[in-house]
Amino acid sequence: MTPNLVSALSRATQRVGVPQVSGPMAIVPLFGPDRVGYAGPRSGLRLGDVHTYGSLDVESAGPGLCIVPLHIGWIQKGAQNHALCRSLFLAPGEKVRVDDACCVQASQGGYLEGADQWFFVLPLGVREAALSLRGTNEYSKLWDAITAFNKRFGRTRRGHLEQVIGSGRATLTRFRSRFELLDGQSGALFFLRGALVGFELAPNPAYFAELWPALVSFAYGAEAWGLEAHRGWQPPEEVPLAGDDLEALADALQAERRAHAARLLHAAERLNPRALELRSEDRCSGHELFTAEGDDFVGQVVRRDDDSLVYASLYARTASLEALLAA
Amino acid sequence: MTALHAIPLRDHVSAPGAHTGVGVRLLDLLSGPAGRFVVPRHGTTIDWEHHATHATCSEADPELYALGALADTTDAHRIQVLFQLLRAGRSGLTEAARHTADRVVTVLLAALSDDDVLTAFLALRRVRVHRAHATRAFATWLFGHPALAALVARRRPAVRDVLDHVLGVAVSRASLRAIASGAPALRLDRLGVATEDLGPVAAWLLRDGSAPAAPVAERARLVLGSAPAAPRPRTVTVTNRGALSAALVHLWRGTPSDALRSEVDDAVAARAATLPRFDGRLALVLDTSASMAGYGDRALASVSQATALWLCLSRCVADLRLVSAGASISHPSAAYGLRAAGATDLASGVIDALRTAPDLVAVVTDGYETVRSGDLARLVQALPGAGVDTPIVLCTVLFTAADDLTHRRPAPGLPELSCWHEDDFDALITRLCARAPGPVGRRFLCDALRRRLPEV
Repeated sequence: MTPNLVSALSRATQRVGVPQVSGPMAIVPLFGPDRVGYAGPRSGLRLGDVHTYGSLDVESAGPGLCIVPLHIGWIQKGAQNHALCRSLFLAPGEKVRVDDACCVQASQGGYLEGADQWFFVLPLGVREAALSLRGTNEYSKLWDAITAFNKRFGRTRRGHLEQVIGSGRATLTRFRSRFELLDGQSGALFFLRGALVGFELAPNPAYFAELWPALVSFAYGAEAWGLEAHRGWQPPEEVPLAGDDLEALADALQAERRAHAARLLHAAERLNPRALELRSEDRCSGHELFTAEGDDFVGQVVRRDDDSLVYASLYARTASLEALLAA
Repeated sequence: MTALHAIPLRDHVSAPGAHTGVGVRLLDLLSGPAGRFVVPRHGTTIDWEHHATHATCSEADPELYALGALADTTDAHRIQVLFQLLRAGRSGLTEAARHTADRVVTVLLAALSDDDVLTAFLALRRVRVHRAHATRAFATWLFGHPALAALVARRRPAVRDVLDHVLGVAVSRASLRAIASGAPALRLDRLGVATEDLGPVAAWLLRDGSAPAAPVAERARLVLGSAPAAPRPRTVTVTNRGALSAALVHLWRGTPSDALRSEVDDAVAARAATLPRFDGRLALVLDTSASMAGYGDRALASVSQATALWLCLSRCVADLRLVSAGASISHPSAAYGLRAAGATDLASGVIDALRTAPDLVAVVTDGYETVRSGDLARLVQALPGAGVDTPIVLCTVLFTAADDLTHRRPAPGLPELSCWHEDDFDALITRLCARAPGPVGRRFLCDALRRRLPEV
């Protein structure tokens, strides 16, 4: 990894926010610059024609460069549901045919209800598999990973992703309330059981706000739900708060929170930028897309020619995740 | 009358330091199941549940207990209240308390069904208690009954048994013979009871003659409890859960205008005029965080109803101290431009609220605690050890009464109230402010319930 990108990762955020915790998941909000010239994944991106299984068009739908989020997928009524294995650039007005998309339904029986098209981001547990299969033009390539993912939720072992994110949509979307998007927030660190499992960064707060529901509900919330509902996760025993008076309790509470935040940020150091190997995948308008791979984390990042990091989706490898979930 | 808008009070009184004054115990009793109250035809006992608790509350605070009949409760409880009021002596009561007891008895006799009234008096007979006020109450009720003939035709033995008990057998029979023959019934005259044109009824009670004609089958009954509300919508939307929350939603969604702001002001005034007044200090932790904004079909539902409640409290509470958890607000005028934002730190909010030395703390929230969920529960648990025993009540704003509260109970050790419609505000504020300790809470509850006492 180039020294410049190391410093870029370090400079990526201007401020780290107060952690939010609900159940086994924690999030540390990140606040970065409000960059202009970028199209968001809801307002600036559209799923176009689906040519055949695994082959579809994605289209720019607004002004500005669109960085298609890594592992975005779409649920449509009356059509096979797909997810992308990789991020890519869309210049304003551009349409790109993607032939290495993953079909996330194994058979006709999996159509979701609901008239609207809505997008998601692949759950954490299948993301590494998806990334490793980029460039492979085989629509069923993710079914084994989806089957294994479904098994963790006690679902039928089929390659239907909606068995979890569709049937569990009402529960999963409540993660939007359990973790609150803050004004100016452009990224987040995601933790499960106190261990870092994801680093998501957007070019600006508007982009991140459009991506947030898919990240918190489906990409990371699904795994948290799995811990709560299917692995019998229980909150850890905590030492009771104690104080001789109200002010002593207030001090004790703040001290605990500072210590907790410090623990999370220490855990975040497990993502070592220097340990990531980068491979360039795409270029557009002064931006370069890299695939990043390390021992414990993989994903993709976008760096501008001025060396600033404008997009990142780095997440725990499946083996690390499964070890964490089984602990 | 069963409670129209039953607001379950999940009062976990096991929480250390929880206030359990008479008012709170009474409301808890009256909001729970009433159980049986049956006077068997034969025997010497009464089959009744919760009798002991009713008796305890009655003895602890007779005036407040009497007013409890006006709470949102069931007739099954009101029968027990009527029985206790009839059973209890009046010596030692203040003039005001006696007057209250008399009024409540009159109201209960007008509200309860005939069978329920007879049950209460039969129970009095079973326990062999005679009270002058009970005699007067029954005689007035019976001989002023608009459907007396129908009542007597249906329940002759019970009516006669009670009349024999309250007047004494000899006086009862003599009175009935007098009425039947058109002569004055002196004892009833002294009670101020009119008995003209009741000859056939009296004869029937004496087992003489045929059943009298019953032109009126049954009497109209009073409805008690908080003011009856308009029918609830079958399909709930964000703008049909009360005029005030709807006005706020339209103001926030539309282009702000004087007309929309006036609509909010008018709705606040109209609703606040119907609500009880609290003359103590209430610290309100108002959740104004991002989750309160909601999304989809429920966008603005939580924040609008919470804001509506806040604006009403600002009119009804003499000393309201506001602490916002989320977007910072300080004055009711800020409601016009309120935008829910920020994370939910309820624990810090409660600490700030307690610093104002209130009589009571209310936390109005959608229930999602995001800044370290669990902190509020731990704080609540630690407060007694820190010498803090101020009552804290969690008030959850719902979209409908059927909301799933999973992950929305940040402190199960706290007493909880909820509301989803503006018509719930009266009952919620009553249950909330009744928890203020000492004279402040008692005075509030008495005034709040007395407001509901109809003229009969």
